[in-house]
Parts: sequence; C-alpha cells; structure tokens
Amino acid sequence: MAAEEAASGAAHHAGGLAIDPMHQFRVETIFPFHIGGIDMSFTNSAAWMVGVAVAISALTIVGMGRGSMVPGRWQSVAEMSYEFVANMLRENVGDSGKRFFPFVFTLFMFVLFCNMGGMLPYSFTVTSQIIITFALAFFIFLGVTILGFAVHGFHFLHFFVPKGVPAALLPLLVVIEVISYFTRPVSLSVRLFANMMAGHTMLKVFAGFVIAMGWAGGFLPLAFMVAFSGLEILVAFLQAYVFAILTCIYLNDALHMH
Amino acid sequence: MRKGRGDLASSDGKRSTSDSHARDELKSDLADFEARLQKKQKAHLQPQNTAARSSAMGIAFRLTTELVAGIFVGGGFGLLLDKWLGTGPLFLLIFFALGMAAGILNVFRTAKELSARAEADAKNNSGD
Repeated sequence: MAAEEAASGAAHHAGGLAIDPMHQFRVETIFPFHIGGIDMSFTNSAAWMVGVAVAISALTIVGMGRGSMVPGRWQSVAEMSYEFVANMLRENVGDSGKRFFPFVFTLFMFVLFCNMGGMLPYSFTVTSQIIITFALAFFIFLGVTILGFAVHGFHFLHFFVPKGVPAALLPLLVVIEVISYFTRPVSLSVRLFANMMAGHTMLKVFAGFVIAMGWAGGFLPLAFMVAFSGLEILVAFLQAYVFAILTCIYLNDALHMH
Repeated sequence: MRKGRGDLASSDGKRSTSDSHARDELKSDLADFEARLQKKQKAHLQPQNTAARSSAMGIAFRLTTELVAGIFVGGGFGLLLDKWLGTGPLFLLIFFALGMAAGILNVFRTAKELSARAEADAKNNSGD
C-alpha cells in the first residue's frame, strides 16, 4: 500500500499528468469516524450514496410536487420511471408482485443513479465496488429466500427438486440445483460490478492515450472515447435494468415457485 | 367507409331497428378503437424493452458471469466442507465439478429465458 502510494507519487512528480486508471476507484475518507475499533468513516463512496438518495428523493418529491394533469419535464421523468418499474414488475411477477413495488423501485433507481452518477466527470462510481453490489445482491437473496419460506413453508424446498427425474439421479441434481441457487447473489453482484469497473477503467486508459499521443495522434482515441462514453451510458442503464429484472424474476420464483 | 356501411344498413328497409343499429355500430366502433389503441400502445411500449434487452455484449456478459459464478460457488462449498471435515481436496474436487454443472445449468436456463423473450418480442412486433 505504502509502496503503491510512493509509486503514484513518483509518477506525479515525473509526468505532471499521472495516468493512473485505478485512481478513480480509491475510497477516501472524508470524516474519520470510529466506533469500538470499527472504521465507520464517512467516505467519498458514502457521500455519493447520500447524493444519489437526495437526487432520487428530489426527482420524485419535487417532480411530483405540482401533480398536474399535463406533466412538465420533471414530472414526466418521475412518472416514466414509475411506469417502467411497474410494467417490469407486472410482466415478471404479476399482480401479486405489486406489494414489492417500493422495494424494486428503490433498488432500480439507486443502481441507475449510482451508475449514471459515475458517468459525470470527477465522480466516484459507487457500483464499481464489489462490496456494495454484493451487499445489495446478498440482501436480495436473503430476503427472497425468507419470502419463499414464509409463503410456502417447507414446501419451498421442493424448489430444489426438479420434476420428472429418475430417483437415482435425484441426489446429484438436488445438489446441483442448490449450488445453482447459491450462485444468484454472486452472479448478480459480479455482473454489475465488473461491467461498471471494466467500462470506467477502459475510459480512463483511453483518456490516458489521448494525452500520451498528444496533438499528433490523440484524436483517434478521443473519437473512440466519445463513442465509448455513449456505450457506457447505455451499459449504465442496462445494468440497472438487468439488476432490477433479475430481482423481479427471483421474487417470482419465491412467490410462485416453478 | 364505416359511415357509408351504416347508411347502407339503415336504408335496407329495417328502419325500426335503426336506433339499435346505431348503438351496435357505436359499440363495434369502440371495440375497434380499443383494439387499435392497444396495438399502438404495445408498439410504443415494446421497442424500449427490446432495445434494453438486445445488447449482444450484455447477453454475452450475463452468460459468462453465470458460468463463472457456478464454478466459484461450487469450489467455495467444497473448500468449506473440506475445512470443516478435514478431508483433503476430496470435496473441493467433487464440488468443483458440480459447480461447473450448476454453471452450465444456469447458462442453459438464462439462454432459454432470453430466447423466450426474443420470441415474444418478435411476435409482438409482427403483430402490428
């Protein structure tokens, strides 16, 4: 850690413009804060999460404040996001999914705003940290499993028993099904984290090329960056969508089993 | 066009029923409108979803993570069991293979779901 710091410091002194594509992922403490030896400092990551929560609240509360029949710009955005999530829930879970709307809406908006916030210059991308996405995915997994047992009782265990299988193969397949069930939080979190981190690293690396190649050849990577930024915005939306839709699918599995 | 047909029907000599005719006409008009509206709405709602789904890189990434996650979770289970029971690399090897199977099962399921969605989208798009 110290050596790494020294190296990046040296690079700073040498070039003036240090190209360090991983610097953007560094979590920095803003207010140090410890409880019983546990580091609970307020970091730039926490600050961005607060910012995202405020932005979403502002959009939904201020946007819908007038609640006019003919919506203005902000009200349209708020209504569109509401309908988008409501449709997603209706298509994937059905009417019994309505009571989970607040949960899915909050989740979708949080991930979407974290991803989109990461596209702002000098920003910190909250969802590019595996621990954040894993915490989200793990609590979804836990909640959905509890829901499954709450709705179906021990009958929920039948979820792991595939139908129409010879009895001899059953023990093997049940183990595979259980492993497959436990991959859910891993694949859900890794997908979001890896997409965000890979995209942002690539953007920074190509931005470094623009500077390194100077006036002579820097325009080619610059053109690529413009196109890639557009793709990154699409990915930011797409990953929030995938995260939310998979939550819907898991909810559906827990509510209706197969 | 529709007006013309209505006039024809009323001038057919069934003047006494022209009132109910008009009502039927109105009803069928409404039903027709409803059908057309729904088609338009569907056309408006669908493209947004297809665009969001059809990113090939997104699909490739989804399938890859499913496969890799299966292997990791299987291996992790095996490692934990080995640590708990102290049985060398036995369970690691068994669960690594089972994890691969689970990963492939996940990929298969995801692909099936994706193709079902694509089919539904194609049906919706050809409907209008």
